[in-house]
Amino acid sequence: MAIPKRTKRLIDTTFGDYKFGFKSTVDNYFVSHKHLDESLVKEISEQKKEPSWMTDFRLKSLGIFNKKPLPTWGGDLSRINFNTLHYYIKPQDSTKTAWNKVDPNIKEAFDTLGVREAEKEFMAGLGAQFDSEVVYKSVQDALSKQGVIFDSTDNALRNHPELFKEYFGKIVPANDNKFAALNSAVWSGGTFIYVPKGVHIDLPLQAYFRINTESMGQFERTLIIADEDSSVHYIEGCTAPIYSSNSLHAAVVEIIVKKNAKVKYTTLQDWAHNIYNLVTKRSFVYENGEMIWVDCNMGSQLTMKYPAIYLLGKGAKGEVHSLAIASKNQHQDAGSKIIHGASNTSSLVSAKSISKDGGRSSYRGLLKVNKGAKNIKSKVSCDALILDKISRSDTYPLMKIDEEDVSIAHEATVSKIGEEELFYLMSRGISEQEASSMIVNGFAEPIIKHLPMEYAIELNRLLELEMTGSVG
Amino acid sequence: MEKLQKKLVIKENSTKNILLTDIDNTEIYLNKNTVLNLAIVTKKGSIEPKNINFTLEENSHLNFLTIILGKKNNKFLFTTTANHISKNTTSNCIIKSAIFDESIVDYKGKIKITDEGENTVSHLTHKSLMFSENAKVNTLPSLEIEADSVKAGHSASVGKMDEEMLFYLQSRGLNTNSAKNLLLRSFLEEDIEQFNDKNLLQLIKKELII
Repeated sequence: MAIPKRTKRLIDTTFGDYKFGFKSTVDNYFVSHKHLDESLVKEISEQKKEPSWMTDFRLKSLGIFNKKPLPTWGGDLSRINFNTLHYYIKPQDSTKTAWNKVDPNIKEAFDTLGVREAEKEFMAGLGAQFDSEVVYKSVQDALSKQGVIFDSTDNALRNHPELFKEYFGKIVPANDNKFAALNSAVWSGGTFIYVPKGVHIDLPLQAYFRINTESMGQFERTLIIADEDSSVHYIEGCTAPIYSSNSLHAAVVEIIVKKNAKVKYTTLQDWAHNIYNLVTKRSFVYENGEMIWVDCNMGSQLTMKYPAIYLLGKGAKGEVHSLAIASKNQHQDAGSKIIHGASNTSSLVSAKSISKDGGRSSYRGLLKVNKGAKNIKSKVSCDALILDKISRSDTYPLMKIDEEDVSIAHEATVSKIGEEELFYLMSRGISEQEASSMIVNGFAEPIIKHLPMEYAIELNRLLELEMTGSVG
Repeated sequence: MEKLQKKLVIKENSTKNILLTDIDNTEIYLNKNTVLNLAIVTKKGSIEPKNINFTLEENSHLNFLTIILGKKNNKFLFTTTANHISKNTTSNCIIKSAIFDESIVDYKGKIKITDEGENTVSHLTHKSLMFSENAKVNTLPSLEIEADSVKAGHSASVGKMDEEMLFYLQSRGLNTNSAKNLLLRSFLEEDIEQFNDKNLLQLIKKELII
């Protein structure tokens, strides 16, 4: 007898080392060969029936990728073999819009992840990425009527070529860094959002990413454009099954926040512990615009991710709220970059990290005030919690200030779970285990409160699971 | 690595008070059960970057204060590192910089706590007051921590003179210049009280007369 899905999920979450570590079998329509060269890039572009400017862009990016050396700072990248990855896998012939047309294997995988339930109850629309293509999406009718475009990036290239060409690769150019170049050469999938002038999307838009083919690189490309006076909240959650060989995830996210617009981008990253997660995320914010990154990193072997905000118009605001949890064999090298390029701009960074079981978490940040930017306000705070002797925590917040009329504050703390706090809770009849868990949850609370309710509950539960058996 | 020219060893079970008037390459070793109070008050910049390294053995305590008055096109490029290699050590590093004209302060401060460094308490602060729009400050305070029962932190702030404070002082009859001077002095002097030694305090105050 087949095990009911709910039970299977419960078993997986309770006993599995990694709760989303199940594989599903899907007949892939097209799998790219592994060697990374011009013919591969051309093949991808051909498969996607792309215009020639995109093929040229890809080939140029490949050239940049080959020229750039691997970064020597941050985590250990020497074990990535670029010639043993899959660069493109197309699971189905076209994007399905109705749930009942989706491949049953894919459906089951999503059901196990609880994506449908999530959508039903809380989410406005859903584009779920299974391997490289968006296989399922449903934008609420009302949104389409308002002129909102919420599509896979591949479709957007076909359906909205002018809008696409205007913004694509402008925020993160291919020569920005080695992994942005790699993404530019072999990108596929991702989300494209355009919010027209004056449109506010109240419910968050959501995408669920999942790497499903062994040693496959996932190179999704996301582009969000919020036109004047609009607002949108986008959520991505990432999980991947466990495989023996290492996988690479090198996404590029570009966001444009125009005058008086507001964008919130939430990431919940829970990749399996053999994934390299090397992502370039950047936003340009214009006059009185507001950008908020909420970034939670729990999974992956190595994460190097520094969401960036360029405040380019007067009165623009930027916020980064991040939470990193580094367990055994994990290195979370996360942070933020804020560039104040205009007057009267303000920014806030609140970063929290937890290191346990020999994990290493680093905060690496940049705060820059350009010459000519006056009346700048910024606050950066980093807090780290170390739960045992074998773990490590680093903080590298760089500040470059070229102006006088600024008010900048930075603070960082590193500590363990306080004996006194623990003692107080235990004196109230709470077990040591529970008390530690409460303190850790309390520590992460200021970040978790920025998440939509369902994710907040999920993250709290994950934290409890992660903390089982570890007492500071 | 930069070659360190000076080496200073604090003998076991001793307390030392030192005042310096420039930032130079220095390797400082604090043996068991020692206290070092080190103050640097400097107006002289340098072209070369400088390194000051502290190594803290069991039960050693470091109080370190640097006051920088950067004028004209003086550059202050320096790095300080506090290595906590054993248990029960404390360090408190404070850098105050008042930056005028086209002066530049480029500071990297590091706190390193090895896995032997249990019960370490360590803090690093860099505060800057900007007096000119052509002045520049870069600061990178970093922490590298491999032990768990520690209290470590750093903080940094950059700002210009508070208009409200200036206004308040002027409303009490001070002219703009003396009000500014008073605020500058209070900024520079606010952290010297951490040194208990009277002689050292007097020496610092003497250096600070502008």
